[in-house]
Amino acid sequence: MKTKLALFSALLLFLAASSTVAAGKSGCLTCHTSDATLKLLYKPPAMGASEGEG
Amino acid sequence: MYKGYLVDKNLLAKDPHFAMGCKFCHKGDENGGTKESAHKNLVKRPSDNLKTCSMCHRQIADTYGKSLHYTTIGQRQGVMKRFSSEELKQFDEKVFQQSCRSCHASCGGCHVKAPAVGGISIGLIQGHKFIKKDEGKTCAFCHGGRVYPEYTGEYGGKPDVHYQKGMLCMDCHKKSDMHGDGTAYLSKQDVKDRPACTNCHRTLGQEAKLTTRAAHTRHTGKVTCYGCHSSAEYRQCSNCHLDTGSTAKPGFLLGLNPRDGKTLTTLRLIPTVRDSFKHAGIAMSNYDSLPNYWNTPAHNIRKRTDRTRSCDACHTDKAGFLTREGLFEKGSKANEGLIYNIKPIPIHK
Repeated sequence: MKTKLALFSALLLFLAASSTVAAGKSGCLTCHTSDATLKLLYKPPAMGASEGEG
Repeated sequence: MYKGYLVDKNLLAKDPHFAMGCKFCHKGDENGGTKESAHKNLVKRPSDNLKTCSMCHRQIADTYGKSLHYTTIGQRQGVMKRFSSEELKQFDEKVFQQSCRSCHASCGGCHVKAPAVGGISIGLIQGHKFIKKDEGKTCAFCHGGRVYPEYTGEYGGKPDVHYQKGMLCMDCHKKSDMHGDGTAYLSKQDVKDRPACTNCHRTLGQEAKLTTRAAHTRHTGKVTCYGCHSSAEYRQCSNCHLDTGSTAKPGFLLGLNPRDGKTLTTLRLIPTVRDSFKHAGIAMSNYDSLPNYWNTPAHNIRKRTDRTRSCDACHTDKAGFLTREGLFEKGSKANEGLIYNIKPIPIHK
């Protein structure tokens, strides 16, 4: 019982640890945390005719 | 403007929203080697689908789904009486979803990335931090055509005294107004506990200054607070068309509130003209059933205005009062019903 509990806790800890770094490992952030890369890739949007509700 | 897409890497370890990775909400291909391949099937605004946030914020997502900021149904309700039943169907199919409702606020639009207006957005409010509020970067954008710049004084008049005292939108428009209270209101006029001056200003009729007390006592129920305390011209929009938008100029108008037909208040010209929806093939058969001027809670309040300084500003000069000559050309026939013929103050011998 104690062994099962310890294994289960370890599994939970592993999942939590791997998920907290999920965002960090994401390829998206390679660009989206780099000022220089975004500046290079950015294209200004075309102006629309609509106006906000005000 | 590229900085609007820059994520603050310091948030990643601290904020539980990042625990599941970017792809969990945004889809796309995080292993894509180019911008195009990485953005394939990208979901730019994941919170447009309330189920995204409701995984953790269930109660808020449930109530928000019925709130006016999400449904934007007030825009439909405001104009629908001008349509025949057939025209209303066309409006629902061709206009409301594509044009009016495109303006609805998602959770992210207030809490993560500033809403786009006319295709322009400042991007992430604080580096993809999930913030509670930042009125200057959220409310100010969608409501930046009229209310917000009138409030701050950027539109040309003096700032609203509440702004000068450090109050922003959420000081009066509470969280329940934004998130909703579970009721699917059809109009902001119906919202329970919506902001009212008397929520804070409760001493009407007890003022130390006798002239103030008399003025408040005499006008209560006849004139709204804005009628005397709106300090300057505000934005009047006209001639709106689906494909070209509208034009605007400053103006100050007093007339009868079209919602009750008896209270004098500040009016704002709403720019629906007879051929506003011509582009969608809608002629508005019942155009004249609604006026073009509506009561507006002008957000440019001052304690002292021309009208509080002198009774003559209204009773003799009739400054700002809606007149037959001042009604815009080819407007609704219902506009004439808003003209208030104010009388001079009688002199008692």
